[in-house]
Amino acid sequence: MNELVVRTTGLTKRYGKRAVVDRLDLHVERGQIYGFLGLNGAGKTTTIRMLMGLIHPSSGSVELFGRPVPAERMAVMRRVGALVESPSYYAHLSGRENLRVIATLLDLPEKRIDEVLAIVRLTADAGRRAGDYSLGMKQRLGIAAALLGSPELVVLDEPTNGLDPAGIHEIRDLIRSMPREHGITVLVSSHLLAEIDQMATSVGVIHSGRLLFQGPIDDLRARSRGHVRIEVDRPDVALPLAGGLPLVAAEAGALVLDSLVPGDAARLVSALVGGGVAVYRVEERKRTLEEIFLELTGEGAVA
Amino acid sequence: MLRMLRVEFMKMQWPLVGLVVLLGPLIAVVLGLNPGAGAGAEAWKLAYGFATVRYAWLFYPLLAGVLAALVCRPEHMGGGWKQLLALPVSRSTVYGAKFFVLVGLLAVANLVFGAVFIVAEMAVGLSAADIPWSEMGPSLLGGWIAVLPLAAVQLWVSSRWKSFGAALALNVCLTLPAIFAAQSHEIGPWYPWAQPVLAMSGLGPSSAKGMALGLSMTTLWVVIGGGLAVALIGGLVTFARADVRQ
Amino acid sequence: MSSVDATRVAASTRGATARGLLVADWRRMRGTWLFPLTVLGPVGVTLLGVILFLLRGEYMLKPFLSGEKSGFMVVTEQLGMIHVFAIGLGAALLASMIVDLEHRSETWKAMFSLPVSRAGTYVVKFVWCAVLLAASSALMTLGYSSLVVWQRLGAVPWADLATLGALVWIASLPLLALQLFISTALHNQALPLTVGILAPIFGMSMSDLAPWTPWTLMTQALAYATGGLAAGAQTESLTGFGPAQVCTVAVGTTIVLVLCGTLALARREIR
Repeated sequence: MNELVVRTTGLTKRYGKRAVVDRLDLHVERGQIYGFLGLNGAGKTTTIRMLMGLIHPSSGSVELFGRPVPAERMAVMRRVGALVESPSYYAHLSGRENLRVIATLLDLPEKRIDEVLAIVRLTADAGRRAGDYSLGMKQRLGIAAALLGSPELVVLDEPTNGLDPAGIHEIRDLIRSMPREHGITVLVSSHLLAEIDQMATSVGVIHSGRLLFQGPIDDLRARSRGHVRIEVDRPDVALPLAGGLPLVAAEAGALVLDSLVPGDAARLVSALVGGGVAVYRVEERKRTLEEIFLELTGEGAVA
Repeated sequence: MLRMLRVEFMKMQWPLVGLVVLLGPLIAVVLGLNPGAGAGAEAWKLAYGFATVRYAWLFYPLLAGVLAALVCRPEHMGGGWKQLLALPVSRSTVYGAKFFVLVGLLAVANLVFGAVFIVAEMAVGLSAADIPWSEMGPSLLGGWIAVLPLAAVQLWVSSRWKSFGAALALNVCLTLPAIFAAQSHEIGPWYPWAQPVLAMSGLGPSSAKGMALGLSMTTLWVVIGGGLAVALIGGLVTFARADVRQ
Repeated sequence: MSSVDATRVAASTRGATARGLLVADWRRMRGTWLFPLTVLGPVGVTLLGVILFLLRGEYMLKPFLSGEKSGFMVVTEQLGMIHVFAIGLGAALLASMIVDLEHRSETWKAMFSLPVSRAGTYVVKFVWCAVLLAASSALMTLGYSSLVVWQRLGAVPWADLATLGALVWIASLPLLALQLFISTALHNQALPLTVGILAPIFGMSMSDLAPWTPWTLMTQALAYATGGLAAGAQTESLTGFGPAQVCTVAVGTTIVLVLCGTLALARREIR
């Protein structure tokens, strides 16, 4: 196994009695794009804040690059860049001046500011007041700030929030290129399965503060595979005709099958029609994130 | 730390801060200008006493609160704290830099006050030769030192409270009783918010023995030194432990 | 509680009625610091009075015992000026907080896309602040009366206390109107608050300022109500403003300033 860049052990944050983050064991390996997936309010941002040492865990621990946080935060943070929740900016300063504030603290040359501005395509607007930026531009400024110190680990909390489709595409490409071109490990959170699906190599699913699944994205993909539903007039007659296919259930008026290869679907339909069964509708139903959550919660699976 | 200070300077809302630091003392002097000025060194001292009462009684302590709030404001507004504190800078450095800037601005304000006072009095006819440097120097320095504990208290609350108004309201509530405290010989030396006016305008116990900067040594060490230590350490500890949630 | 809900209430009666607007704002104010502040101010002033009596009671009671001053004079002599400061400070804080609700949640645009008149919205905010200040003034009067009873300063001088509370309140309205104007015009509340908190303190202690300005009018009211004896109302600043002048000036200035604010809000582009 690769070096663990992020590792939490039993990480818990309680506000009053409610555990917002509940015994989380997060493992992010070097070179991964780790998708941190959960609905709004699932505990993603709280977890990320604890990773960055912004809030203190009620119990459990965080290690970045094998060093405990917040105890050795100072040594580690130079290697981490982060965009936590909504992007931070000083409204009265220009985009470039905002980056210069961080560059001064990290002792970086002006050239590096130009580089990150180019990466997030803000060069043309660098001189404008950040307060006048559109939401998408603020988001990109936040990403630029995260990249500024040439970090080894980039933590991005909902980076595509408020972006238009083109912007989302751009950011997605940028994130995908990070491990390849710069050897950066990325931890990116989102509430959209489709988004994580398009860029992550590994995924952690959080729900009500608990980690329900953690592992390669392919494992999750397998779970989200769709069902095929065939509505017929006489399910009892239809049932034997579907012999040998991965049948899940025969409901009132419909057969539900696990995903089918196209050939199987065609054969089944023609068999049904040949057998005198009327086929009203054939549909593929992808399971939504919510359904996967429900299933995971139902199993009580903790990876 | 030096880098942090440079960053503080970059982030400052200069138009607003400049306005407060420059215009504030200016107004205080102009409104408090002694109308019946005579001539010579005595007239200078009289005018100075008159001006400092106006300035140091309410205005200077309030200025400390306003500036503390202004120093923290950029961080509260755009989620600056979470970005700043996720960088490899220690929280005590962040807090310390803010305190230094605040204290520096208060020193500038006092110098502006002194300068404006001299210019204004010369404009109404007092002679430059009689400027009471030996009185004004210690007075300005003493006022600055006396305001430090209040500045530390205000930075403490301003770093925690997002609301500009709340921090300022507390400031006013603590400053107003100074009107009574400074008049009383029993309470005066013990009430931190009364110290700037006592230090600056020579209203403190005037027995020359054991005095420094217009204050008794006990007051200087216990109230100002102790107050500063408590407020600064308290603010630092709170800041270092706080969860950054905004 | 969401502001949108409250706004909806305002709009529920097609082209919101005055009552609708008032109710909507009241709902919006719940859970903010506006109500606590209204109570805290007078409590603070009364507590300061308690401390003063505990620390310097003997000195303060002497003129009463010798028959030189009435009980009313004794309690308002020191506290009168603080009362004026507290109401002035309250005006600045309330005005800023009530519009900052809208600034911060960016609800101006939500509100003005409903059939709600801008002028009405503004005036309603002014009315609420004025009502809260009136409540504060009334509580302040109760505070004085409790001090009178506690220190056995004779029968509670209700008429004098009511005059003091009411007159200072009326005199504070121009300042409130001014602060609401600035706070509404500027998104950034740092400046209005700084001005609002510093200016009255200066205005009130500056004898050379004209008596009719929003910052000095309250001192005139105090001077009249306390017979010119309260601390801070220096004799030279007494221009002999009677209640009639105070009220005329206050009402006139207030109307002008509220009109200015209404116009400014009506013409403003909401971004």
